[in-house]
Amino acid sequence: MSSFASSLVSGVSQGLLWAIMALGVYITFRLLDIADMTVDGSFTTGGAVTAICMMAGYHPLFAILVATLAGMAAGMITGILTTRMKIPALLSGILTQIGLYTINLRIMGKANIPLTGINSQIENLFNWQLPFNASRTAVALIIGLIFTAVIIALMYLFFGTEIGAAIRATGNNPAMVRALGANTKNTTLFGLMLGNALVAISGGLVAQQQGYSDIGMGTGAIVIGLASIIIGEVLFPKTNFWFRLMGVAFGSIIYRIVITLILRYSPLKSYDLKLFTAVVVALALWLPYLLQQIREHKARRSNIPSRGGV
Amino acid sequence: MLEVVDVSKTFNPGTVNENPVLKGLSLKLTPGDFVTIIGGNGAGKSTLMNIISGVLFPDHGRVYLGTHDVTYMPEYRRARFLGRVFQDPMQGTAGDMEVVENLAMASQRGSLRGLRWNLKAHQFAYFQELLASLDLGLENRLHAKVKLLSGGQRQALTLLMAAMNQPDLLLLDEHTAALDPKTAQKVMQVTQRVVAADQLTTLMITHNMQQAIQYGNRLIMMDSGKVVLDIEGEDKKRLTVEQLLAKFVTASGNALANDRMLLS
Repeated sequence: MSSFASSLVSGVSQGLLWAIMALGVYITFRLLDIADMTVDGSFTTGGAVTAICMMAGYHPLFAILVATLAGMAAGMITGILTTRMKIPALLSGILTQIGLYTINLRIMGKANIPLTGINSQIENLFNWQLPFNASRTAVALIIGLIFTAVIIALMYLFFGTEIGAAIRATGNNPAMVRALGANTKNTTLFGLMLGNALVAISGGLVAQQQGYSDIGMGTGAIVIGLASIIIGEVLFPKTNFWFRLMGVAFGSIIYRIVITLILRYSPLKSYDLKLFTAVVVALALWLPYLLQQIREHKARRSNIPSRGGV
Repeated sequence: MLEVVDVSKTFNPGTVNENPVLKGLSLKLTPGDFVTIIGGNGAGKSTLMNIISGVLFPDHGRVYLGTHDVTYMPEYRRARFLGRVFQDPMQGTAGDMEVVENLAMASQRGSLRGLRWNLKAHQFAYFQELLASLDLGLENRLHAKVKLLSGGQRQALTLLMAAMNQPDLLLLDEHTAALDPKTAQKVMQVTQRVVAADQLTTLMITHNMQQAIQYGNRLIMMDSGKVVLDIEGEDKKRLTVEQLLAKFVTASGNALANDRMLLS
């Protein structure tokens, strides 16, 4: 395999692992209409919890399960802050994120836990021995594919249920949801818990795949999630829920491929990526308004007075 | 059915903006009543509606629905007794969801939501029949996003949703005020039919005197947070707009200074 092809494959496998985080952001950002800043903290929480569970000798899948519960707890804190204490959702997420920085350090005991090297004897999902001779990248691809596919399927099913529909409607029209007898405080809380559970799963998988958990691994995750969602919406405009979820996953993959190519073929360094991503997301969020302004501008230009005024 | 006992509500108490909106209002509806409420701006009509539906709680007094004291029952819990249609056609439905999804959610009002499918195959025929009764062609647009419907269509859909499961009380909060006259008339026809079909006890707020006289079996006029006029039966049927205006002046002691109400 050429180095170009192998970096593409690596981009796809990375994209699939991060796609689960982007799907979590999709629940809060698109379905609940909340920009949930908890994500940057709960992604790291997922990595931290996974790392210490693995260090303690638990099975790597069990470690992911514990990370999922930790992510739910993080989402619950934000949910309580915003629904029971009426703190604005954006601020609630920021408060939880800041608090999680301390909690994540407390969980790990230090800023970085390596899962390879001196700790290479511990079990890792990504050391999976397949019956055929598969590279580490191929294993990552398969694991990412399985997790992402299962999570998309579960999300599709769940949001088709009565509770799922009430959560979707809450982001759309909370007054109507209350009038139809559902407690919007609970639907919001539950949505935040689900979203952050997915984010933590993603954090746990990424930690295992990259071979370490780091206190800074979640920084900027929310922006990457938004970038993935927006790319997905450009790819699959006006489509059904199935394709929108798939779109988020494809968005995440494309984001990773672009990043891989930029690092390889441009003078940008890895520390330039956060600024790059922030600028791209800002431009993408601006786009709908920009297009509207262009349309209005054209309409004004073509509106020529047929007779003079005063 | 509904009993409001000596309810008071003051906004911004203890400030310069103190505004006593309801002042010891009492009201009792018997099952099957279709009551229209009319009154000028600031009469307290919307506040009364919000207190009945649980958006606001009263400072004083009680609210009963049937045998239940719902005075402090949260909005989402008393929803099982109530069907509501709002003034804003956007407020009663979820625009990003399909027509059939909205109907399905309404059919769950009053029961505990679980992990059953929101859309149930056996309900489709019933929903289609309901939509066909509107005569707006919506029965062929089950899977259309509600935001693609017109204001009148959305309001008619909200009416179906509100009347589903036969609520103990149907609350209509100026539900035709945001529509053009022709659409408003159409929505009123639907209202009349839906209310008659299940003999729903109904409370309808309106700004439109003609509407208040034409519909329902009982008319209540509110002024400054109190009921100033309560006419029902044959007396109401014979009522004209002129008489209503005259009665208002005698009841409240001042002329009706509300252009919107006079003109409509």
